[in-house]
Amino acid sequence: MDHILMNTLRVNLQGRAYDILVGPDLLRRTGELIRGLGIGRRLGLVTHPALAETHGYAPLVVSSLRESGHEVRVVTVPPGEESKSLDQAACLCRELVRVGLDRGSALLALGGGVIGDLTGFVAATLFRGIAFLNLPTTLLAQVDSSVGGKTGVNLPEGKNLVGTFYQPRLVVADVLTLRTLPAREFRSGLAEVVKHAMIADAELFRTLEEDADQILARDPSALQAIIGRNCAIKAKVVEADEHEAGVRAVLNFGHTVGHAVEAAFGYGTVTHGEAVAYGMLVATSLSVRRGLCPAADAKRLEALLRRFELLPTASPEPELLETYIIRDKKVRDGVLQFVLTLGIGSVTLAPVSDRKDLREALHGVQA
Amino acid sequence: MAEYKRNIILGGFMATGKSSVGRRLAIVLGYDFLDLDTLIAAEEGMPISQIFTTRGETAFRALETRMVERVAGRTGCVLATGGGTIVNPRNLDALKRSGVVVALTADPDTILARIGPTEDRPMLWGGDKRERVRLLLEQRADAYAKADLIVDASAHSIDYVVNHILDFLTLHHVIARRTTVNLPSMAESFRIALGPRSHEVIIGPGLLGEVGRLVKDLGLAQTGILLTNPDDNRLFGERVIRSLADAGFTVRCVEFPDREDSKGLETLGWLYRQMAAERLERRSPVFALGGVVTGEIAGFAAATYLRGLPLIQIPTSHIAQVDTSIGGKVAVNLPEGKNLVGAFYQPRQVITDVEALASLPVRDFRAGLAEVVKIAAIRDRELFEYLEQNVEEVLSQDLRAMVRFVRRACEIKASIVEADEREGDVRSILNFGHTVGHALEAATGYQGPNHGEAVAMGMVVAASMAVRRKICSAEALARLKKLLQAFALPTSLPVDAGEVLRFVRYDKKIQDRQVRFVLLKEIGDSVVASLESPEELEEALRACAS
Repeated sequence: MDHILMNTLRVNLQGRAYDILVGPDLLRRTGELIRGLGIGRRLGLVTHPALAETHGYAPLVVSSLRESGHEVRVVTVPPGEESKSLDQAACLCRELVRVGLDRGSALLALGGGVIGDLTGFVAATLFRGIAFLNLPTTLLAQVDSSVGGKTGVNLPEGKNLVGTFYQPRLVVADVLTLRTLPAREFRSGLAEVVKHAMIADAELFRTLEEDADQILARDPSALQAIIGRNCAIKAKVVEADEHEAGVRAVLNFGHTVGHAVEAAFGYGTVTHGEAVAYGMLVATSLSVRRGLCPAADAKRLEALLRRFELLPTASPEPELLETYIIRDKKVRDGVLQFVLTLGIGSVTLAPVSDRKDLREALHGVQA
Repeated sequence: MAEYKRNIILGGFMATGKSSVGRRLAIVLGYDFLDLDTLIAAEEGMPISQIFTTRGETAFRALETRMVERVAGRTGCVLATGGGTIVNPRNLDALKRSGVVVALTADPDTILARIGPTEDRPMLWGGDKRERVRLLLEQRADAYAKADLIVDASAHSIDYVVNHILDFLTLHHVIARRTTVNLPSMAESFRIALGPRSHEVIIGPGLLGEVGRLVKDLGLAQTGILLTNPDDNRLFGERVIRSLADAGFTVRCVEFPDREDSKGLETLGWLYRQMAAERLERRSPVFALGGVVTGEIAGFAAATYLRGLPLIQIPTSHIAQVDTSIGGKVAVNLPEGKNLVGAFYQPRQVITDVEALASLPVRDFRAGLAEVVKIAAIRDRELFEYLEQNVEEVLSQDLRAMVRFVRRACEIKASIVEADEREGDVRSILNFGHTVGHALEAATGYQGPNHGEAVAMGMVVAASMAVRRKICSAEALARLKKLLQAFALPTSLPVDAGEVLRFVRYDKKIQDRQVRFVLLKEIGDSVVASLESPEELEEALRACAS
């Protein structure tokens, strides 16, 4: 029965294909699911205290792995973006060495994007790279950060400045873990879902509009369906452009402004989803201004984001945002690269050389 | 019949550029380059300054005369001699019979400036350095005047002096015709085939001044960063930055200490901050200028900043040139152990200027030769034979010889890496001599033999084990030892066998508690095998004890 319920999505990346498994109650089957991957006996599991204690997900994973004959060392890191630091990565590396991990060991991440990015980075660099398994427990991580192999930590100068591209050996997305997610964090993940629909799937966008209630009620089958679709969209983009040389940049839709919003408000004040939602509105408004996108589509986007309660109540200062945008790493030879939309389900990469357009769009989206 | 080529002998005062001029002359003429002091030091197994302190000047002069007589018997050589060599009439006669003697001199200021604060010049020991230089110049003036040509090298570039000498030689029909050789045109390159990570390795003399031109077509951003250490920056930084500026690049230079004990996450974090301050973007190049440690830290920083920036390796140390710049291994240390955090990250280009090796302390140069011998022994009989037949040129750092063996060593390493990019069975043959080598370094608290010397001894131990197993001939072991000794590398252990054994167990190449060894089968061929018992290693260690 379980097997019918589980979706398997294969991501094909040169010589490093791996599966994303999506379904309910998969964590207690972790041991069985990783069998056949040639994973070493000794494993490290990185998670945060709440997942280990309050929700009991870590014990579930650990006992399943032990039943399969693995030795598991659990290491916890505090929740929150602050943990995505070089210091935390260093502590983790040192602790994993001290508890006896070696080149043949594997590292599992159980948690959200922070845990996944941090653990992925450690797996990519410890002993010059050991096997990495990702068990995302937040919507954002399940639909976004667990696909594509981006790992990284932040510097005081900016987010994700340090990192690697490193593909996991397996991703297990257990949709039941989403039930315990705080409401705001769950909605934050929906922003990436909307983003994927905007980028590549007008039908998914309609599904989101129509099934908004079930989704917000976290109905497992509704979630499984949209998570599967999302991973497929992201995987397709990543396959086409593993190292972000071109096409993959479309995934940054809403992110150029989104990162600036996060930075302007201070990390943690707004959720990533709220920031991206705001960024998508700015990018769409810019697209409408340039005559690329029908105004009606902009309205539908705004309505859906409002339905998912993703629009911030206060807007950041446009001038401040502009400063942060210019600092963004996607600036190429001084010209700002923006992902603009051609209407729901389609995007394009375009240079924004005229700052006036951007300024007007930023002012236009004020709450 | 081969054309008879008279030798060109460079005599004259210390620090007038005899070796640098000699190397270039040899290239232009297609002659071999020999350096008298280097040959004496290698044969005696100690630096010239130590020969002076332990045996005195008279003993040194006797060794010098013996070496002069030996090399005077060769033809087609450019020979750089010591400052006092041609002062002895017997030496001068022998040398004049074998060719043309050119004396280089300079004024005391130039000489003092070039020497710097070193204590490696025994002739300047005792008393005020300036006074010593002045006095020596005066004493030797008559002797130098007996040379066929005197060139005042003060305030003149190497190229000027070289041209001046060439003009003289042509005029006196010592050489048939003038051929101008553009140094970078001597550069050789080969491609490492690793799919999308393929890249070029360029090897030659004078390349540090050509970096900008060489990287121009790589599609790099115009703004980048040069990561280096204080020593390499002082010696080469300006030349590299200038060549980059000439090619339109704006590159900020960031210095960091490249000691093993600073190869940690703290240095790395600091480098990231410097990179952030430079606002580097995805195509911004990172130039790594320096030795092994510089290449490893800078390489890891490039591998992980913005998920990977284009990296240009510019190795300047011997081991970096023949070994670590090829293969993409980059790493930093944790307090828990060496190289525990790292990546396999291929550079976009490797630019190897063999002339940089001439600025190395002689002990470091020889340590690098251990890695060259290693790679020849495990994989390439031809290179091994070349080294055996050209010991003097190699030790004297003849540019053609250096291009030849550096290139060959790089190519062999590249072919091993191509077969096995991530460390697996094929690549592990590169660990020949390293299991015992690492243990020796650790057992002596990293204060004893340097890496190359430790590897030299490790190779002898591993080869002895192979001989005991009867998979390798005693003759191959003897040839290995003889070549290492010719390069003044140690072949017997300075510490107790038990001590080494204890540290072998800590080595990270231990797989499933088994110690893996690379064993020599014959010169040019090797195999990876498991240790049969601790006693097997112990016996081999004892056999190699001094």
